[in-house]
Amino acid sequence: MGLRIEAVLPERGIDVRFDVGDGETVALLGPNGAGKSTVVSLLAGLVHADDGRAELNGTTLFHRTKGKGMSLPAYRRGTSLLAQEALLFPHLSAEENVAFGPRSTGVPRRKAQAAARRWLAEADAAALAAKRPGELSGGQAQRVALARALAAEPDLLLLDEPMAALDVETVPLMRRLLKRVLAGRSALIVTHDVLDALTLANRVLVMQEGRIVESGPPAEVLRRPQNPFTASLAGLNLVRGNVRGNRLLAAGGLSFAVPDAGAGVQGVPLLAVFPPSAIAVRRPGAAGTANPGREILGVTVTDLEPQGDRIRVRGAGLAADISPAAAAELSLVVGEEAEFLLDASAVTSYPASAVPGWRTV
Amino acid sequence: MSRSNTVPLPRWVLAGAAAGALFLLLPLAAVAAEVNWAEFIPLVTSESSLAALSLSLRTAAASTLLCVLLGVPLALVLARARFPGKRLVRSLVLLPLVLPPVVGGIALLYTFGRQGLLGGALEAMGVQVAFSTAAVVLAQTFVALPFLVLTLEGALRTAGTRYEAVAATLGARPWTVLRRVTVPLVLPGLASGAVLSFARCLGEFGATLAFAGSLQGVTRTLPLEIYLQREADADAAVALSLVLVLVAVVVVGLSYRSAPARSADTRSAGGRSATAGAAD
Repeated sequence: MGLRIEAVLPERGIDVRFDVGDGETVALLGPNGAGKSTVVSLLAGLVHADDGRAELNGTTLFHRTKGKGMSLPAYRRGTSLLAQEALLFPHLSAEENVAFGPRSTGVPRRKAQAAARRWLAEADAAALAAKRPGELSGGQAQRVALARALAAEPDLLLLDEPMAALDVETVPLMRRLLKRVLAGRSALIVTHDVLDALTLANRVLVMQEGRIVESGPPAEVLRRPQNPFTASLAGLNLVRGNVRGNRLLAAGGLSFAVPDAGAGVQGVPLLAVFPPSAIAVRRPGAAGTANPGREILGVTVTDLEPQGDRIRVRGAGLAADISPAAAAELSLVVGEEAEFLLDASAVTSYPASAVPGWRTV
Repeated sequence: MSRSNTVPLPRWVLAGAAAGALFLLLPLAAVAAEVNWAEFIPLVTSESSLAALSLSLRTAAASTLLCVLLGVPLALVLARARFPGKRLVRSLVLLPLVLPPVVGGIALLYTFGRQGLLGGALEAMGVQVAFSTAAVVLAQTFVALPFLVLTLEGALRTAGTRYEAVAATLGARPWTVLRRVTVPLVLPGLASGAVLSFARCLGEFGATLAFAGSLQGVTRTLPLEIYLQREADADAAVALSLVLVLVAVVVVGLSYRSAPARSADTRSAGGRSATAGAAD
């Protein structure tokens, strides 16, 4: 039971397969343009796959080959959609908006009204029942929209960046609310915020260029990222390379010792991760004192940017966070040579793996 | 929306605008100045005048209804459906806007007239359309339909399909989506389209004369009556002209008075397309 989808849509570069278990909340992460919203539209029935099939609780949503085949219309799929914008029907009150789903599926007016009030209360929006959408703030409108999506009693709730358009102050409230209502509910939430994935999801899927590239429990995926996007979400440097002896040799000539070099599988690249704070920066040849336990990596500085209360120095695809004082002392300029001193004890390594979207049963 | 321009307009634009406004208003003032006020009431309440006025209002109302019945589906298809040759279909639908009305009337005659395309079939059913009140309604609908289609299509495009998509994911069938989401969202556009159509129907002359003729009480609408009286009784023609001007003012006033009541989302839709329709 739950959702199982395999879909190919070459026109938009989509080729995905994943599932969502019964009562499971899955977060779909990925950079802009990865195709996350297209996947949501495929499930909602607003876009049609060329090839593939999807099943939700035993009902076939679509089954298509070469652009032909069956595709259940959106209104018969049981997949309510909450998008970035609330899109409340402007001519209806909040309560009428929430009652829209039940009314559309033939629930009598009185019962639909009662259901609407119940769902509004569930979304902390009971006081807004009589308001028109034009009178609501962004956060209020999104709460009403959530109530409206829930009131349709979907088999799968689709959330497409539901908090992306909200004010910074209202996001924590909405996140708490989502955490409560998503508990035990089958849902797919598209987000680019790692915090959403951590707080709301039982499992995350990472999507890149139309494909699912990683899948697993949030903590696991963030601890052992398989690609640069996930590593950046986790706030880690990721280096991919081959093992020679106890050292990792990466493209571009980068090389350093890794703790679990022996754990690597023959012929499979090894991945190493470490936080930007594990790197110190100095000018080349400065005070040649040995730094025990530190690997010296020669890099060309490609970027300097503030990162919270640190300064992020980029070079050779790595990020190093140093204090503003240290940065001032070094007075580095983009394009200059520098040495990154990597604390080898902060490095974790593991083999690269091809992860499909299926749950590991 | 009513933000004032920070960059002032060049003076010659203002001068041109004044000339344009004057050009439009002066003839109306000239008509008003020419009215024989002492005889005004008897002139506009004469038997033939009242018959023409009543016929005009009745046929324009019927034609507007027909425009809504035919135009709403047409606008929906043009705004929402995807099919090959859609551009061509749209151009053809809008053709009556640029066609001389008298040509439209002749075209209708060759369609519904006794010798026309459908004339034989209609006659077999015992229906004769040409030179009847029904012909007036058909002629008016023919010339006014594009106004409604154009206005409503613009409103539909501005409203977009996002609300409709949300409604569908909430379980609403296409008919429910149309009834509860699409139509309410474009209602202001539909209203201004209908008002424009009504106004166009009221002023219809060429197509009516060619297709329906000029029979008092049957097909002689107010514009035809005015044209007829122009030589016989100039005072009557002027008085009736003023009546038409007043009706037009009321119609325009009605369509613009509803503007503030529109919701923020659809205001620009109705307003913009109404202007577009009027410009055409």
